[in-house]
Amino acid sequence: MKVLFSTWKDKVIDNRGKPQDAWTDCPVKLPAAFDANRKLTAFMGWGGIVVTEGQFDMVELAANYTRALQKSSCGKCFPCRVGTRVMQDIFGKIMDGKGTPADIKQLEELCDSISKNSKCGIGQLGPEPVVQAVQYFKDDFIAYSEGRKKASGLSYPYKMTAPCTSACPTGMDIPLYIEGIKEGNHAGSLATIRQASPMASTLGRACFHPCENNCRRDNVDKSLSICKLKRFAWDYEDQHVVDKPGNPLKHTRPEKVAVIGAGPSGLSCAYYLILQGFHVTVFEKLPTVGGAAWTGIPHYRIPKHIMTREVQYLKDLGVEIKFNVNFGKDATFASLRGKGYKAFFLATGGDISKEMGVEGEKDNIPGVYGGIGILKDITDNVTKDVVPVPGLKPNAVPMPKTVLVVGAGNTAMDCVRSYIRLGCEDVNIVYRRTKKEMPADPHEVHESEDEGVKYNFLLAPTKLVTENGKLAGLECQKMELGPPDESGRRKPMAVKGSEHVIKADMIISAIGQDCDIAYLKEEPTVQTTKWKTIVTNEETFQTAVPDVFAGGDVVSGPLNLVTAVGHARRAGQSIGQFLRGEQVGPSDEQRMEKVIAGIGAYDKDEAVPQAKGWERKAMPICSRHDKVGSFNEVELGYPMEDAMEEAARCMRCYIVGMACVAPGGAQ
Amino acid sequence: MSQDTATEQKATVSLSINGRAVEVPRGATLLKAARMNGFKIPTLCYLDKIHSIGSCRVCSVEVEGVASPVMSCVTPVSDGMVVTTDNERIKEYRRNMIQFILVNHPLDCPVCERSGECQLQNLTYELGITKHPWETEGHKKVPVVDWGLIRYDRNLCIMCERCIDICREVQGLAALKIDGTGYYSKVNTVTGEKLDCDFCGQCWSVCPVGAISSGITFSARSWEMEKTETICYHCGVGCSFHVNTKQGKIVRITSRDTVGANRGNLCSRGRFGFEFVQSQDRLTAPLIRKGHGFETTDWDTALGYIADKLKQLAGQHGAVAGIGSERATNEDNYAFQKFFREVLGSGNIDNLANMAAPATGAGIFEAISDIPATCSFDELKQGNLFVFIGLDGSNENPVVSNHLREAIVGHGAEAALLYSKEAFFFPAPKMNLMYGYATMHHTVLALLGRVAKDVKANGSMGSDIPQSFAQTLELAAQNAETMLDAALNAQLGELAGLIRKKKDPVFIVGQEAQRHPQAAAIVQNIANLARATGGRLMVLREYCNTLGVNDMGVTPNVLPGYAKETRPELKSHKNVCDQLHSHDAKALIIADEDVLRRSADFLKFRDAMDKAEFTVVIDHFYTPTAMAADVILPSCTAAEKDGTFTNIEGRIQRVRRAVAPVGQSRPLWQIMADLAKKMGTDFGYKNAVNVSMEIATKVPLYRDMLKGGLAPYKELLADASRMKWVDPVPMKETPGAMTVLPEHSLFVMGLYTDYCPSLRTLVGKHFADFHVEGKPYVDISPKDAELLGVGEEDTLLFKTPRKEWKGRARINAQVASGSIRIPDEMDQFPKVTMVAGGKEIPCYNSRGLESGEGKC
Repeated sequence: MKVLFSTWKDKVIDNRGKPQDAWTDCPVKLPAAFDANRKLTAFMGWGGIVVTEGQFDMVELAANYTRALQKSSCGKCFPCRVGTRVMQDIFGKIMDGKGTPADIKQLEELCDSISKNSKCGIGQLGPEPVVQAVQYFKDDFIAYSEGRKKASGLSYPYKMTAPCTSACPTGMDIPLYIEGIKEGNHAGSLATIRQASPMASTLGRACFHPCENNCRRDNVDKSLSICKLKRFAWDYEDQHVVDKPGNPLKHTRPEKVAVIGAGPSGLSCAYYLILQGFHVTVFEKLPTVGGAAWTGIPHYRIPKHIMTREVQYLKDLGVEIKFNVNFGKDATFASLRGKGYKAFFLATGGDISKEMGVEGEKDNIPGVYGGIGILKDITDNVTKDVVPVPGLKPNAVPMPKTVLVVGAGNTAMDCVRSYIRLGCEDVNIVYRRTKKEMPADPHEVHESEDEGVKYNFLLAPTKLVTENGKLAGLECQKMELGPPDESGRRKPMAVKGSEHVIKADMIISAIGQDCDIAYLKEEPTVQTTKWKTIVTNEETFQTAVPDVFAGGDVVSGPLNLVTAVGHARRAGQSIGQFLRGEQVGPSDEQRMEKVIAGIGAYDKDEAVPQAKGWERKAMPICSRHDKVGSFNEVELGYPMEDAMEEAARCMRCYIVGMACVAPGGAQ
Repeated sequence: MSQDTATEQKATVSLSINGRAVEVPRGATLLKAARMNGFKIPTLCYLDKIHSIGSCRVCSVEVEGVASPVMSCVTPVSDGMVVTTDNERIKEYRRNMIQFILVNHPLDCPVCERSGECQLQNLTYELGITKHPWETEGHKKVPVVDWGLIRYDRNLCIMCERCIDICREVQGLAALKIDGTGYYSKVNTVTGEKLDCDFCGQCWSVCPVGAISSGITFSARSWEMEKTETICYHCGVGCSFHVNTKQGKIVRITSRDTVGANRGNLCSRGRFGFEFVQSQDRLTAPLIRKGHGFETTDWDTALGYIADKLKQLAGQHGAVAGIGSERATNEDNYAFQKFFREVLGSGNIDNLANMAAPATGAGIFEAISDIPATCSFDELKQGNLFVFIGLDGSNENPVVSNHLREAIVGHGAEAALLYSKEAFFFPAPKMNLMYGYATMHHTVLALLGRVAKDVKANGSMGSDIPQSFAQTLELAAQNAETMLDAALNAQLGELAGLIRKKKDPVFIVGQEAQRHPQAAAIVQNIANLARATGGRLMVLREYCNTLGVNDMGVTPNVLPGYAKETRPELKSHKNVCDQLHSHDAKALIIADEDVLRRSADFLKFRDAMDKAEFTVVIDHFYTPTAMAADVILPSCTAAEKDGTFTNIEGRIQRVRRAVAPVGQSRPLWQIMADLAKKMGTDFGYKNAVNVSMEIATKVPLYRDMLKGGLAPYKELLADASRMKWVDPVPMKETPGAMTVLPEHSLFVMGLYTDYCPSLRTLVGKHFADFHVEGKPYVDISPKDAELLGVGEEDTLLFKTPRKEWKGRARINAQVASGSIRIPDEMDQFPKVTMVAGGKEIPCYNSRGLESGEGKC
């Protein structure tokens, strides 16, 4: 992508007057096409102006952008609320051909005062591109002022977001819910969270929080504890006597939707659908809610009774959940269509542990387990909703002397940390790369080390070793790191002749999960990948069969909670559009959301003009004894005053991005 | 990970402000740090008692290394900061912020209520703003919105958010919100409808401009008003406020932020309930009965007439009985009891607080032995868990709730409510327990039992529980538990756990506990709870000087300062009412008390007054009690006299004369002194300070009263380590009988509010559907409704000896079974018959206590 003009991040590129093939590279990633019939020719936003094509009108873009700033202004500080309105009125005069040079000068003065003094990003970062427009397109401004130029009639879609929000797959209005907590309006905060997701507790406890990696506060001191504040908002409702907003919603639509799978994605989609007035039934294979969040996330990270209470909210809203229904057997597409279900959301996740691909794996040797299965066993037998006594070794869960867990993702972490809690004394990880390449959350790795897990890096399993028909150990091969592979991580290479046996009486394979999509035999039109995931439109989550939608791990492959919830939110919207007979597709605002995400709403190198030294609040954790000796929740949650102070650290980095969109396909 | 691990930090932070090295507490904002060290930073939206808002951007400063101005009110200090609070650049930005506001702020100063005390006006002046560089187009004026006593003028509003934040944070209501975005954003009620709130007026008091105003005060300019700092006369909190007068007429009440026992907070009664002082209905001259009516006379005649009557009885000890007043000053009450004891030789005096709630009246120290029944508000705020017992926190003594909220928001304290109805409190309480009125004592006892069990299992929290006490308790608590349902028992267990977990509980005792037929036992056991848990106890008192009237010895057998009466001839063996009934007493003097209205046992009182040969009533109004008198003397209200009130903390506070006495009314202390003089004894009082001096000399408890501060109650307490034990008395039950629990309106409570027309307009707001077609609500639990066959909106007939009235049933799950709730406004009678579905159901009013008849 080439650029005609840019002031992005204060670096001016001006290719005006040059032939198109002499244009330089565009400093940001912008799509040429806005949608099938429109092209994106220019962008104005928090970081400056970028023009990629000749068909644009800078004055009109700046005028519309200013109007968007004023509209987005929350009204909670003087300069932004009034200042952007004064700017808007000046633009009004200019566009009407009544502007004066003094007006243009005043725009510059206003911008300085607004951006230096405003409360949040709208005022702080918003006005700068307007000044740049005045500076570099002065002739156009004068032409408009003198009435020589008239409105061009291009369109200007925009989106208000924030770096954190932009990083969140659910598009949650993070600054707003943080502000709710800061103001002591915890119920309002939770209501904001629930606009994006019904899983405040689950996400607040176990999300991998991409938002915190996009937090501008990190440029000042430390990123905000966004994830745990979400948990606080939910805990506050849970622990206090408040009127919980759970009255059954009115069904304003006659259509019924079947959601397959009561995991985070399925439950979330059910929520978005019921908010739109549809009848929703969730069909779940297991007798419990939560899917992978129930079976795969141990009690010490999300206590099961907490999850039960969280899901109660959905039930209160009117979501019907049917348990022990194996889709494809007990219910099928045909049978449900026959019962009047007008759309399907497939959210069956991935619950089959991948095989390690080692010798002897097919021999059904006792003592070899899949990670997901063993976690489910532990959940079912040990941690239902009671906290086990230290040293408890229930019969139903295999108790080895030495356990080897192969893999280094979060599932592997959950396995080793669970076995530490079960009292196993020799708990080991076997991983073919090094600590640096581990896909697990660094926080989890740190905790597991603290709890006594031993790590064996640069080691790949090759063979299951038995003695007298019983598992005796795992033969492994030493590895060394070669050049980076397609995942960007350095590829491990086997060291020949380094095979040796590690003794163990239990081996858990935690290297990933596969999806069970056997039920799709009935609908062969739905496309699948070679990894046994479902292919959908990546914007709408609709499959090739119009009434079938899918999301979560069954689409992305085993990934994470929040992505699954994000899929559900989009799919919920698409199903609504489909059932109401509307065009299924993203709105202009959502397209802008994607444009902004492509540009990158967060810049880790930005110098943020804010005084530093306001420390992030520490999360209180349970006692050492509870930590390794029981399945009690490790993180205790912020007390209210800490939550409110932590929330006050938020800088409300709202930003506005606007595109200039012209008719015609991209060239 | 390391980012979430706490590290030890120094308690202070060193930084440089304007070149001076300073050290301030960690966590302080730059604004506080600067002000602490004498540097001035202008502010507009900032309020000390709530979280920093940060909307006005006027308090900007420069911090080295930060490119933009830094808002000092929202930025905490950190080590090594180099701060400049003032230079030309900052000044210009500050001017800009005010100029932004002036873009659309109408210069209506000549007709604006805030003019002269407007912070925008002051800042504009202070910053020397003479230019008006920016403007917007098409700005149209919008009409002022009338929210009842409060009005909102959006044209004047600068959107500083003070009103919204104080409402949520201090008042706990969140009745206001910001509506819309950008330039057209405005303050609105949360519902978008008329304001539905406590009408505390906090929003009005903090509005820096004239956007929020009050309709009843729009009559004087700020510079025309004189301000007198005094103490509120409505309830026992003892809020400090300023009576604002213009040419001798009260025009409004204001308070100063963070000042006084109330820290500047006031409730609707304090803020808007001043009209009674200069009401048309005030008594202006002495009246002497002539046949069925009264004849106006002068003081000399009236006092002479009374003195003649009393002289005839002065020889007989106890022949004259008296009722003192919870709303009169300490000086008034002291003079009153002195007149009785020294001039009339009678110890037959009492007050309604003591008669209605003897457990918390004069006998409080007797009953509670070693725990002060009161703690200071500062101590209160240190609590981690507030256990409300028999308290409707949002309606009784509302300013106490403001303090609790401060602790809840400030250091994460929690609240647990125990009430005979599902009570409302904000922020959301941790627990909300509902007991049946008849089992209130059992509930307290069961909780005490749970706490004792917990102490046994997990170790002591407060004082050790004596072995013998523990044994008795175990059995009693077991019995008590059988009276309660399983859910409540489980909740009480949970509450006991919460008390241990949170530590430092404060037990706050409301009117329902104090007026309960088993009040003595209830309060006693709450005291035991406090003792066993190492907690504090705060007994909330209803009137402005409920504590003082008892401290001043307007009680039988107890002298000022709780000295015991030793003179046998002044001892009293019966209560005032019984004395009159048995003709042991022949005359009655009632001072500043509407006995016939306030006492639920008024029938007996009325008979007593009939039996008395001679009755004098001293009051501000022509009350039902005054109507039954032989002589009526007009007394001053607290706004017209000097003196002191003792609030529920035990803080002795100066009451100051803000306006001249209405008509010929005189302060009570003066009336008593005048009467004594007529009878030949000169008290030697020329002013209220003379009385105060005498109290300070003669009553050790009040020796420091002229210095202010708390009365040293702790000195009085026996240091008995014993816990007094009171067995639960099962209430005498009349099968099928119900308890009538009258509900207060927040706005109308006590005599004064009857004469405040503005407050009365709010009653309908509070009881949203108080009267529908002339029928007040009768709240009944679903269980009772089913039992009695009462349906929603059914008409219920109530018969009292005085009259009959109809109510309409509301089936309300928030009401405990065994009781019905009606508005306090309705005819209160000890015994009422309710007719429902053709059946007559006997009902006993929870207030009908004294005669014993009402005990159910």
